[in-house]
Amino acid sequence: MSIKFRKNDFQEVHYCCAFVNQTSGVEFRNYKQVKIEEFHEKGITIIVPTNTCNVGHNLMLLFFKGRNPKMPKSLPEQGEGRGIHYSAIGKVKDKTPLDQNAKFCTVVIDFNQFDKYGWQELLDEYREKQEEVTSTFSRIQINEK
Amino acid sequence: MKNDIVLREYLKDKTAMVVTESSTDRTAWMKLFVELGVGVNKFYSATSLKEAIEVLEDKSPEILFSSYQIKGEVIDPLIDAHIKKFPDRTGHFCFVVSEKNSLAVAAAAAESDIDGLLIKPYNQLDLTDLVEKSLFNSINLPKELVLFNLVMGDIRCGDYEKAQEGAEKYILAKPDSPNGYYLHGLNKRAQGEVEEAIKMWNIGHTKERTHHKILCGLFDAYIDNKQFPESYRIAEILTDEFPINPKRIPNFIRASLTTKNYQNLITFCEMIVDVDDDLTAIKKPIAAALAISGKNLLLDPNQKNRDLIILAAKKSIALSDPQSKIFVTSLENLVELGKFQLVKEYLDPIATEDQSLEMLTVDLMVAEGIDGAELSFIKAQNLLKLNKFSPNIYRILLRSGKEIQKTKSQLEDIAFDGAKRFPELKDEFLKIIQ
Repeated sequence: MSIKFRKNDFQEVHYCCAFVNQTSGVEFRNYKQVKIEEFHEKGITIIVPTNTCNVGHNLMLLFFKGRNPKMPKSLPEQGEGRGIHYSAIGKVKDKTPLDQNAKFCTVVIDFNQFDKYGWQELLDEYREKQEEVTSTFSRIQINEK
Repeated sequence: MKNDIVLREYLKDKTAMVVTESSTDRTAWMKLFVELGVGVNKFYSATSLKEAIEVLEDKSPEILFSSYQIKGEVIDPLIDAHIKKFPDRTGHFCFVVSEKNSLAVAAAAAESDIDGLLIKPYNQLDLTDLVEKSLFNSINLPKELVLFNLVMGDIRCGDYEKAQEGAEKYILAKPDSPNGYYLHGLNKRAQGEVEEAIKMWNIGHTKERTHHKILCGLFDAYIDNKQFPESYRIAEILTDEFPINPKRIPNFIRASLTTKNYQNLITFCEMIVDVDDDLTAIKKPIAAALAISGKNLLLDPNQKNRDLIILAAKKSIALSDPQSKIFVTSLENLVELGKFQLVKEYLDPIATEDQSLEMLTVDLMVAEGIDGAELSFIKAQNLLKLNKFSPNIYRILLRSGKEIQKTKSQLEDIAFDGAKRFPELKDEFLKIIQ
């Protein structure tokens, strides 16, 4: 036997998000400024720069796997292409400034065109990771049989 | 009674603090705890580590719910402060929400005695469910674990006599469990009695081979005691059974080096370099381990080792500062294997005036390998003119001088000059020119 190293122990589940504002026609490729806050059954809450969207706007969200994905030069209108793991279209339901400067805001989006199975798979990936983390925790914590 | 009602009743008098920069999280987390039963007027919040520690001191919130990192800082000091505030953890909780979700991060967090690591982004329903389950389990602890927490609290407070009694009580109540022995060992360790701690933990280890806290305790104690073969044996079990806590990597490296497990160490380090994008803290020990392992494997230069030495040198060079000894050692390892062209590629971008004596010597060794005797003789002479002296400069000067047929007296002058600077090498220098 020897000291083991499992790559899997260091691997994370992570998705980045970029989007096309279909109402204003502007695309936002700077995924580092888009923070995924919360998943919903049919939607998502993200933090984005304030001037990128407004309540009622339709956004096409594109999800890329990993922390530093290769971004296409322009985001494809049909939501498919190299490196794009998942895409969904939704309407901005709510927009709340994050702080007093309001450079960023929290945006709640309800999906209206999306593949619900694909979405479920993405949510399940995080859920499974949480289960792995929880299981690691309980194996490490003190128990009494 | 239903779980949620029990929990509601339990939480109604608890105080809580949420710590996050995000107003969205703050609102969501407060809502979560209010729904679980914490009173709306029993909440505190903080947006920085400093503020959170102040609130903790002032208001003593029993439940802490915090982001793993606040403004780039990991919240370990806050967790430590919460544990210090409430050394007996029964009835006190600490949850951490992290965007980093690898099992290595989970292993590190679990060792800091927090109650749960929740990964972000999450689904609100899943989050509620997880926190609810975790809290419910914590309030329904078996009586032995309540005793466990109590003894841990005594140890943290330095009340070793009381802790000793508690640990003995635990062993008496659960003689087949490793937990009592863990407590006993920890109490001894806290008093500086490492040998006694090791003894107790080894008894616990026989009760349960894969008790995480005992394995960690034993590993750290063996390292401190410089019992490296023992520490390596424990590390084998620890890494076989559990994800690695990144903080322990430098000591795994130390245990591997001292037990001469070079081949495995190179593979281990190479994999770390491949997966971990945040190497800052462990960069130096990894680079050093690769260089030292390579140097030692040179003693047995079979083909498998040759490949490993080259791999180790390349990784080590990529991780180390060009002005460091580690960098030069890896270059020397490559020179030993005749990889002159590769070494030249690493040295060429470094201006001569920035090269240390060791680096200039390596450069000369490369010249001897690539350019032949005439040029390396001139290069070596130039180094001496620049007042750069090292045994290898003299060795190369003598070897190449002999090859280009310098006169015997010229060669002897060089050998005696070298012997003046390195008297212990006089015989070796003279032997070269015979």
